[in-house]
Amino acid sequence: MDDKCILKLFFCRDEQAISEAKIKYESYCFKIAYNILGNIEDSEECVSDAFVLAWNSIPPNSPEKLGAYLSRLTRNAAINRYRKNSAQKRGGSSITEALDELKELAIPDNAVEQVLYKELMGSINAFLESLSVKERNIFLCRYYYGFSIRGMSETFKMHESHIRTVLSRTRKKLQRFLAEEALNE
Amino acid sequence: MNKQQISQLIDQVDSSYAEEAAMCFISPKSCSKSSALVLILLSLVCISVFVILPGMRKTDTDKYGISKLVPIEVYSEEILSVVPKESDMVPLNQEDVSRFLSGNDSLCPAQDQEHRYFWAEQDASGVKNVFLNWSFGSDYSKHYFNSVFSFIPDTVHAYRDVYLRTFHENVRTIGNYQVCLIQDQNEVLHLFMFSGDQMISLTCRRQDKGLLGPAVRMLVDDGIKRDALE
Repeated sequence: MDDKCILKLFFCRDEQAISEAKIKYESYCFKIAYNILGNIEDSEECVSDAFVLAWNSIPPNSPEKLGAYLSRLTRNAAINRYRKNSAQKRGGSSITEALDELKELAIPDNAVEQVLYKELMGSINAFLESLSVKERNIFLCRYYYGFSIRGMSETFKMHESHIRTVLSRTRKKLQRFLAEEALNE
Repeated sequence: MNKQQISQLIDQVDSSYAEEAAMCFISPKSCSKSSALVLILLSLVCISVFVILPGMRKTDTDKYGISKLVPIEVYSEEILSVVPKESDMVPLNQEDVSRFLSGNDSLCPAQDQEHRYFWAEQDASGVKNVFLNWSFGSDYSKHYFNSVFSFIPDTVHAYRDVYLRTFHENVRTIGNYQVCLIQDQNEVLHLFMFSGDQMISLTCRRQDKGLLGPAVRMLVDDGIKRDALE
């Protein structure tokens, strides 16, 4: 069933919408949740939560791309679970490794860090806008969705070393972006 | 910036960018023109293959039950590192081999001094199997896995072809064996070892992956031969 038909079911409050959406997108959503959580049970619960959120938010929302919308809901649900698990010292997922890569971003001192942190909250999208579509998608697949380098290599049809190079360059760009923001402040 | 701040920062990503990225793995063709071209070419190749050899791949997958297995991705090197190198091999104790193979085709449990339980039997289809439970350390109840040695010359080559082709990235050569390590959807590890007509399958839980190395060390040896069971 195509997305338009599934959305019609959502708008008609027909519960078949959930079944059809699950048939089409559940495995993608599970993959996203599993990237972040690294745990089957938690990931399954997050996917269920995401579908419930979709049911509760469509309508009024009318996503142009249902799969992408569900992916985002799943990612947010999984990140919330991840934070809860991290607080309880549980973890061991691909996203942990990905976030560790971003820790290399150098910040000069605490005062600047705080300013930057607040500023950057609103300007990360400006940074993303400055990237090419491919760079942006690779960056987000790794750091927003927590995909493994190997998985991304298959998705983007690029060699793993090439993916690593793109990520490294993008992190450096982000570092420069942070420095410029600090100077502007 | 600490990890929490970074994570919160990434949370601020605009939904349009997030959804654009999501489309890459939902519909890879939307990622770039070049990848779309690659996909079209791949599709043409697949169609050609299926026209020439209709349904062959699907039949293999169904027949050998590998559709539910997935290659290990993130941790493959980590896990494969527990498999010893050829230079690390030690010969299997011949006394153990003799004792191990002492079972007849009927159920014949035995136990050696190292807490290895084993027996041989012939199943209804005539396949001869040796089952082995063994433990390391003092509490064997927590650390054991089963080994099944199936000597089925007519089909073992087909199994080998399918497994090694499908999971070629996870294959290593150790001694006379081609070793293939896979995990299933329940995170259970399956290690297949192929040599001639012999196929050995080791199964263990992911958290017990450290047992695979010692297990392979014991198995990669000429002492266990198909002839000995016949």
